[in-house]
Amino acid sequence: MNHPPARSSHFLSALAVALLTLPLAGCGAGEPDTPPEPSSAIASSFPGLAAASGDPTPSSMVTLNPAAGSVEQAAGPFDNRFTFKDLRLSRDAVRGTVTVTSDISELLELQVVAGFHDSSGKLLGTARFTHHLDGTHDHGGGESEAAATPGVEHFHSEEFTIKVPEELRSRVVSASVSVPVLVNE
Amino acid sequence: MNKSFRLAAAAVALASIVGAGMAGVAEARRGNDREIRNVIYLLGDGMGRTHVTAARERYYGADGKLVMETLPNVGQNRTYSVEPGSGQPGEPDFLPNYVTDSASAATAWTTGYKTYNAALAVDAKGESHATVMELAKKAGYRTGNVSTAEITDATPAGQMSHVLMRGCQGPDYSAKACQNTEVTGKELPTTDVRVTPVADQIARNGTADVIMGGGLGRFDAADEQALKDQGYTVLGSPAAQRVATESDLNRVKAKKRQQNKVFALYNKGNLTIEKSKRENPSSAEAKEPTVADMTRKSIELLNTQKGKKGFYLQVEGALIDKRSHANDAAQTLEETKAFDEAVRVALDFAKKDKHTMVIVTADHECAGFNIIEKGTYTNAEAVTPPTNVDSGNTANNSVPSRAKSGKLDPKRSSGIVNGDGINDPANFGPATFRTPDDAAGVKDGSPEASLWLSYLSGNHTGADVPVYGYGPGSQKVAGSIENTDLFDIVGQALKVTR
Repeated sequence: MNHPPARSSHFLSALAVALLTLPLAGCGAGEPDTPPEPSSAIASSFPGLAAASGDPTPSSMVTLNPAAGSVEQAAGPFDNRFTFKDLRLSRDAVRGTVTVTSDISELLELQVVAGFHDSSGKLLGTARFTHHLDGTHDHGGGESEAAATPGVEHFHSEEFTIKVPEELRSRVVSASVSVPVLVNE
Repeated sequence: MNKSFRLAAAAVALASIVGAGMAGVAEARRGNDREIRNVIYLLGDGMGRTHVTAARERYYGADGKLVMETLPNVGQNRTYSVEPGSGQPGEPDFLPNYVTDSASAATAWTTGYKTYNAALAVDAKGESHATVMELAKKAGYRTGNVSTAEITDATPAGQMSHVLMRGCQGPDYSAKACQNTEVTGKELPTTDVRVTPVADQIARNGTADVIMGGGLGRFDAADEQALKDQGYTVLGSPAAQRVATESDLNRVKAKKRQQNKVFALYNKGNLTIEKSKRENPSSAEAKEPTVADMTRKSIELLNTQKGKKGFYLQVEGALIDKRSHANDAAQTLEETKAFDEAVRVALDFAKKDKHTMVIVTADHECAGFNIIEKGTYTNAEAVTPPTNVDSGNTANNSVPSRAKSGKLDPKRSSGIVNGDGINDPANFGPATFRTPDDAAGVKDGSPEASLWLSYLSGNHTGADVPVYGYGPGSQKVAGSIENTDLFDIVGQALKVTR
């Protein structure tokens, strides 16, 4: 069939347009691949999560009633990862050694909390010994040193001294200790 | 050629182009083999080049291969981190730190930013950046995070949390462990995500649909409730501090086109090394799944979506690093092998699926692991380091110049640290292992064993680490790349980054 050139041209153009638009009309583009806005991907608040008000006091300390002159271990989240040794209470401080038994990699964070109790067992207050990532030790002015414990693996040990706050000394008859913070590399 | 003919030819050409395009659309619907829908990113913590070689020789012999070594694309990644306050490479205030920790390394591949040691998904100036897993989740992918460490530890946490200090893990906030005033200038309010313990973030942000590993001791009753409120099936119980078991995991069945959100922690701390589980089959720890088991189940739970967006799964073999810190060569090798079995699971899935990219790499090398020549010793055992005196030879006359040779000093070390030598406190030299190439009867810890291994230290080193890739787009790992490049490689494969 002979079409005049003009008509052929129109027909072929129309055909081309139809062919070009066919996939768009009939073949769905699928899911878009636009990357999400990065800032919208980060959860920056957690409804229902109470903001921390400070360093933790183990709730187990509140219910303890250590015998006069003694230092008792209060339960904490990491009790299967360390041991206490040579715990003792003097008029001005709680002393002892804590040995991390779960890992021998670098100790990043360790906090020993001492609770001070009166004769009825009431928790009067707390003080802390902290080993921090950069090797600083914060323990109320007492002395501490890291020492390797003899054994198959060289577990990290810390001798700690936690001073009894001056204002409590006259009433403290016993103490408790716990580890609420412990992180190894 | 007349005008009609030209127009007809043009129309035919156009039709064939359109036809091809339509065929392409149809093929994409059927499954274009070049289209990535899933990424499985496996990370051997502390696994340097020698860890791979030694594990290969130990278990498969000189001409064998670990599974990861069968991946077709191989490169190496640079692991250095930066100092607090540093800019990024190329910026005027860039200040590198040549030896990274796991946190800054994780931040590199999860966010694309170099940061300081101890930072997670924040840059060296303290700014948070979205992680690949967060972007994937936001874009509609299903997500999973598996580790043999505590799930709050650096590698898994680097995908699911933003903290200034990796020690801010939980369950409790501690200012010393969470704040970093060197970076922020002053203490941040405790409502700020960057000082919110990692466990609290993981339990509430829904970044990973499937979470498996250790670290139950980091989570509490409030975390358990938050997880359940988001639809997670919680195996074991953070509230009761009851760990999940492999039997619990086996009872969970994947449902098609369902969320299948699962939270399963199998130990209060890190998971247990394979040797201990093998030797104590009746222990509670023996009920922990292997990293391969967790990988298999995670894939089953995540691979339930139709369409272009599948899943993104990160798997960490963490105990390679833990045992390298301990210079425990036997377990370093066994944990590398266990991790390689997880690679096998991922690769088998990818080969069948044809739309999955698999990346295998490490965050850093740990402990300067080395294979030394049979019968030799290390500089640390020698009277002096190797001799270097030859002033007449211009090739040899640099400093340091030593007059004595580095012969073995029996006072410094009496030899092999495993086998019969394990009980001699004077030993710190090589550990020796039999390989499949050795004659029958050759024992680990004997001078006859052919694989002699030593450690330089008990800490990380700055060596580049291997990276292996499988699947479309994985050729981008070939060559010498930055660890931050892995963010772009994975992000672009999933089309969640530009």
